[in-house]
Amino acid sequence: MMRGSLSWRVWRAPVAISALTLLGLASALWGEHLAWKALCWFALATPVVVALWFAWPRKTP
Amino acid sequence: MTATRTLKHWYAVHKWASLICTAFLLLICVTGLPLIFHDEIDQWLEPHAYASLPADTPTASYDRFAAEALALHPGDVIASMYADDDEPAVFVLMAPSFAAIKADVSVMYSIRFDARTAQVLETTRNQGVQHRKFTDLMLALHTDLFAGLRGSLFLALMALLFILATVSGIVLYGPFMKKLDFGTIRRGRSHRLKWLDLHNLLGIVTMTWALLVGVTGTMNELSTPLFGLWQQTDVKQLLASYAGHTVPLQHALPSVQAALDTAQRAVPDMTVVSVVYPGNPFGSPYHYLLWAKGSSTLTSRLLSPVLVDARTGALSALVQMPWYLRALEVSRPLHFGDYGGLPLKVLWALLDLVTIVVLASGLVLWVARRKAHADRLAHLVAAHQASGERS
Repeated sequence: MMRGSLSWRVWRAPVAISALTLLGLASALWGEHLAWKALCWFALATPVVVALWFAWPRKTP
Repeated sequence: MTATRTLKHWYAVHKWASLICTAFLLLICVTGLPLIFHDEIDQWLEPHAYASLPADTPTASYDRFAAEALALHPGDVIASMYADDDEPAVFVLMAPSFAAIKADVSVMYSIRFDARTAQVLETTRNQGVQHRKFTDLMLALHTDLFAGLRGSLFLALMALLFILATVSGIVLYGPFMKKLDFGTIRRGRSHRLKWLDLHNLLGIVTMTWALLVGVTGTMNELSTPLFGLWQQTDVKQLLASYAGHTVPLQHALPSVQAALDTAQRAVPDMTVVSVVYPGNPFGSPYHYLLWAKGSSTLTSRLLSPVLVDARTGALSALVQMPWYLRALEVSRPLHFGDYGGLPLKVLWALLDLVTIVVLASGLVLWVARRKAHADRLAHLVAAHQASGERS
């Protein structure tokens, strides 16, 4: 139980980002309307925004 | 094998796979950046101007392009023609002979026509290497390091190592993050820890994109052997019934426009976009080979070949592409990121930049680890020498 919850804690964010990335990659390729392209841009922006959010230099306490 | 030993093995795989491919991957990522925007860069560096005509002006007959091209360069042969995707232009590729193309594909040159008026706009004949555009240079560095097939295969190997490095990095991420929250960057402690956290964070958030671009890049590097395999198997079988037939000479060919119309009628839901002349090493000796594409984002990347008999002008075959070439065609947009407009290109560039930081931070970590190891060794030697002097 502990092991399972630990794996979930470690992997939930990477798995969610990965799923959004796949969704974004597929949506613009298979979808023809602007809404699919917009979904692609939104989904593929996720890894970039997450990377910038956490990696942005901050003052250390 | 204990978990610790398994992890040590994965660490060794990650370290060595990364170290071997990093320099080449950095080159690929840096040259890939301008290639994402190659249309925009080409248009900016060498803008093409066209006559202002109504949007519904039809394309001129391909027979006119052929006649103009042969009149311009008599004695040479037409290798192929294709319509530009974005501009009202038709390109005619020519060469001194098909044998010359077989010996060295770079002997080919192109003539750019206005698609509506058949007016010659530009020819690259005699311009040679000097005319290579900036994006052509980037593409050569990105795909084969100016070394042809050997360069492509070498970079395919580097891409495979990159995939191995990424997979091993994912395996190592889990145990490493057991005691840390997602996105933790330990800024208050050593520089090495900060770079390690940054490397892990950026690597894990871009893992899917990086794996996809790595796999599709490997497939693209293998495009020449894959097309060669197709030619040696399916195409050979298809042309077996023509064995012993004479190869038609270019001046005796039926109308290329008629061949194009025949192919277009055979694939009414598609658009014929290019024609490879009979005798071209990249086509059939006995046929016009016409390539047609669909109209949706996906099907516009899937080209279907149509063969038209080069003696009679009759339809010979609609050729089914093998699965591995279909996979190659689907892999292309997923590698180039050119199927979702400018915003997708910008995102592709940002993901490329993040990958550059992952590669660079990996190198920083390796250097820091070696330096720390050397410092520890020097400290031990100094301590040993001091104790020897005391005794």
